[in-house]
Amino acid sequence: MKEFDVVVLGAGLSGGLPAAAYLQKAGARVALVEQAIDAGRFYLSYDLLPGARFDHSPVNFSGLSPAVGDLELEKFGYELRVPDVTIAALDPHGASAVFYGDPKRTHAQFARHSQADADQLVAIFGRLGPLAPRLLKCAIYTPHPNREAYEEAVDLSAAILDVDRATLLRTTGTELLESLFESDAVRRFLTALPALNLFGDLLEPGQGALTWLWSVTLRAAVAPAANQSLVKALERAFVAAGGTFLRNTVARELVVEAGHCVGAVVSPFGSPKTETLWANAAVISNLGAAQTARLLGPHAWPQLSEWKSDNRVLTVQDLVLRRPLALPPEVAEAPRVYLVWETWAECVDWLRRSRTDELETYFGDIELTQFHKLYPGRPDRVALRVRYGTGPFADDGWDARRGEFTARMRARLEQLDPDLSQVVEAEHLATPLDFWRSNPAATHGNPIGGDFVGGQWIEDRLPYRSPVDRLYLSNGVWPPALSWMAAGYNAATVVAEDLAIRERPWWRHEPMDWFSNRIPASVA
Amino acid sequence: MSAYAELVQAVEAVRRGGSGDLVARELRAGGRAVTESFLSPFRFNLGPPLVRRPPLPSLHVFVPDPLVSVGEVVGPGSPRVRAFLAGGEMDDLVVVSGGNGLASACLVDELVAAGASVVEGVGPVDPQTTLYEGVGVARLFVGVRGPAPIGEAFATAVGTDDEEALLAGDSSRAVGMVVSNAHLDANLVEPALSSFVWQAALPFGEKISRPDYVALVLHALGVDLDAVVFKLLWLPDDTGEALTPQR
Repeated sequence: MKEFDVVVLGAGLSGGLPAAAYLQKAGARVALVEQAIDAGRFYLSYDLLPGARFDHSPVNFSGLSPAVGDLELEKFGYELRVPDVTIAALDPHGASAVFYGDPKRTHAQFARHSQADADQLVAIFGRLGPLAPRLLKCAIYTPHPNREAYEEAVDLSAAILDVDRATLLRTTGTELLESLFESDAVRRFLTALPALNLFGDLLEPGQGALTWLWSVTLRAAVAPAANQSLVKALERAFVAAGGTFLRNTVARELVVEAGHCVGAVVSPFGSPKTETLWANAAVISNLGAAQTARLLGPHAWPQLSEWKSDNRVLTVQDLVLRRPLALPPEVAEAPRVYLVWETWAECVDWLRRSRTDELETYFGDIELTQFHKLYPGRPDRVALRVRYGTGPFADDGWDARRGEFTARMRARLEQLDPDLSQVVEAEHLATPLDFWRSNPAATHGNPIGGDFVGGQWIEDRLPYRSPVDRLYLSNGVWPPALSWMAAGYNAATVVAEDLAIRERPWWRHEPMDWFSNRIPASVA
Repeated sequence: MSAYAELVQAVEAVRRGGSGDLVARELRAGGRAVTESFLSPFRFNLGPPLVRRPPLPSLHVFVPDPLVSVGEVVGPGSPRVRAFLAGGEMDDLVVVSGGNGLASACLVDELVAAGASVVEGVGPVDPQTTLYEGVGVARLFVGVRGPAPIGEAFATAVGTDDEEALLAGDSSRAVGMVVSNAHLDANLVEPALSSFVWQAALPFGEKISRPDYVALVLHALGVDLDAVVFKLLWLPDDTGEALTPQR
């Protein structure tokens, strides 16, 4: 009989993997069950061709996470560095702005469009700097729903934006940008990232304004050994602490006895043979609402099946080029480049239409990742990622659209680089359907786990403590996180509290500690 | 020594009570004994489909029967063809259920659980592939809707019934082997999906048009292009696996 204190189903980077690592280190005996060979399915890295390295998820926000310090990930080979250039935005007229590590340079970029907007942006960042760790703590590294923490996050946000709280809570993201910035271009540039639906819906009152601010609170770092090194460091931390990692193992059923979740039935990949993993204290499901409901069978509570995905998801096109994409020189230095709308009116209209089922909205907000800026390889093997969206998941017709989408995006890029097709060495389009096929926990093809919409925001998220005793849920949901590992941190927190193992001297790091320890506060 | 052999050696050292610290230059320890998805729903063994039996008794491995089909000859295959499918290895060859990468990952876990340090991905992205001569191994990784065009054996020759021609390195025709990936497809969420690997001997250094060669192979196999969910070709200069002795 295989018996543990905690059984974790699903080793996702956001939820299951860090939850397992925290609880094992805190003294619980943990079994971590993962269907794939590796943990962190959506945070692995790969060489599409030798010399052309890609990350599944091209952004790395792990420097925000207390997990880097708490779990001593650097001891397990994890390295991060602060980049000099982070992102750039470019519009069809050739207007652009680049974000640098140095705020003075960023100010100069935005001052080209509006001196007042540049000053405003720097003022916001100036107020944000010292408050960011607390804001992240209240908004993200707290097991929501938590009314007190949410209220504090709203107060902090109002202070950072220098608006009163009541106004903030009735303001959409677009209204906020219109009130803060006068330049059409600046508004567009500052919408590109949150428009990819990081924290919520920009057009919802309150939620939209908070979504914008919380999105710009994020700070990216670079892992020289590729983003996958975060997954590997977490795996090592878990196994080195004595955790049992069952790779290539599929969860078949959650075992519920007398109202308590007491374990899970699992089987090796491709095998009908099953065994039961008994959990003395807790089972954590990182498998998403629909999968968890299926495994619970008659024990599922009704609302679990009603959680639905946001209808906006991403499509990803990977290209290996024989030379870099031709971009304006300043913009070309940035690892991530957003190709934004022509006008602010077009941007707002796109945000509105992206709530519908119009496939056309996929081509509105385009994110390029120039991986060769992160992982320099062969000069004739340039890894370029194009993420575009957000559009509807809508239907099962994605295989039929593969050719059309590939060609249309190629044509869009040829507006920047007319000879592009001559230098394409390899190309692959991953559709929302492919993401779901890769991992059904990615509800309706949302690679970050899906499951959040306007009415299911921060306070209405899937609960960490479920109505079934001893069953916990650790999916991203809200926050819809990957590399900041908040969902796993929060799930581990509630389980550890319930098991009375939360108080550990090492479990003390705050959000942004990694950044605070490395860069001056004036820059951070 | 291959990266996979280094990994096995490290585990054996730990089992003898020694140190097993490992620094892997590649993204994942195990070198080409890894299983890759490339942002697709499928699993592909990046390197040879057959590997020497891993020193992990609990791992499910098997020897396909029949292993090889070349023309009328169906069975375990000649040593030369087995070596073609196993990266030159000859003894105790098996298929790892779930993927070769599972063996590497479990070996790494054993090292870490024993207190060793394992760090991966520290080498340069540019592998500085040796300039090989002669003939090497190309692999085309394909995922499709519908059944994969797998033959009667685990690896079935296509385009020739002659072993010499199979390994000659002719890029003008679709000559190669369709290798079953069924042992990696077992848990696809859509049963209608399947995958396979085309493994062929092709010349090193030859300017082969990837789209043209892929189209040639898929046409020869009767694969409907509209049914293709994923396709990626690694030429011999990408795999770095030589078939002919190098000077």
